[in-house]
Parts: sequence; structure tokens; C-alpha cells
Amino acid sequence: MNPLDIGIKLLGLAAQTAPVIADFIRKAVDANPDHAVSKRVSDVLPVESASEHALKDLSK
Amino acid sequence: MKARIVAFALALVIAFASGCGGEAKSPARDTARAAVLLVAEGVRVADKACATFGENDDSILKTCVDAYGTARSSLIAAEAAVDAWDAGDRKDFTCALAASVRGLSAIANAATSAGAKLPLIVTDALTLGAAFAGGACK
Repeated sequence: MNPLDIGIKLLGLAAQTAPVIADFIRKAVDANPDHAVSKRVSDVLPVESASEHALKDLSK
Repeated sequence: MKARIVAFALALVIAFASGCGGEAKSPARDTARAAVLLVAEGVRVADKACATFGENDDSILKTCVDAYGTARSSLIAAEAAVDAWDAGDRKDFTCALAASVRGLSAIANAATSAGAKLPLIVTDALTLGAAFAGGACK
């Protein structure tokens, strides 16, 4: 586990016990959409899907 | 003490029951964002299953390709609605999420018909996405 993951886990634990920390994290993430913690749909779903890739392979 | 616990449990049951079956409640922004990302993850996993199990069936693959495109563009629209949560109309979010859930459902059906056993994240994404999107998009 890398230090960033450990830090995020610790922040998550702290956020569960202190609402102030949870609020701070939420504001920090929302203020910066490109923040590492904030995932975007385009990060999860590439333009070319796995099925499209398989379809191209099948038609070769 | 026992009576208090029973009363508390009853209050929880009533609160839960009143939230079910009625008109979909507008979620908080953070919950809405989590729902978008969960449905996106469900689409990714279901699409991978479709590509693996339907690799020799072009009609299944074409179904998944089309449904993936619908789901992806709808999820990006839902994400934009979450980004503009304070100014935006919640209906934009629910309609976009409903369209993405339909896309996910089509991919899941195609993958299942090809023999895939869908991971729990796909069924969870379908259930949660439908709960937020259901009934509120007109």
C-alpha cells in the first residue's frame, strides 16, 4: 500500500469520527475537480469499450 | 430500556418504509456523485464480462457496444448535473442516471445471455442507480 492510500484510509477513519474533518474533505474534493481523490466518469469508462475492442478483433 | 430499543427500532422501520415505494427522494450531492461513479464502475465491469463471454458472438458484442455508448454519455451528463448541483435542476440528474441504468441493464442482459455470471458490483449498481432514478424522470 502506497503512502497516498494509507493517508486516504487514515483521513477516512478520521472523517468517520469527526464531522468537521468529513466536511473539510468534502469541500476540498469539491473545490478541485481534478483532485486525485475525485474520480471522473471518463477515468472509469474509456471512449473505446472492451466490447468494442473485442468486436474489432472478431471482425479481423 | 428494552421498550426504548423496541421504540427506536420501530421508528427506524417506519422511517425506512416511508422512504420506499413513494416518489424518489432527491439525493444529496455527495450521494449523487457516489451513485454516478458506482454505476460507471458497474458499466465497466459488465462491459468487460460481455467482451470476455461474448467474444465470438458479434450480435452480443454490438448490443454491448451500443449500450456502453449510451451509458457512458448519460453518466457524463449525470456527472455534469452533479457538478452544477446548486444551480441545476435535479431532474437532469435523475433522467441522465435513468438512461445510464438502462444502458447498464442492456449490457448486463447481453453478458448474462453469453454465459457470464455478473459480479455483485453490477447488481448493486443496477439496484442503487434504479433507486435514485426511478419514477422521478418525466
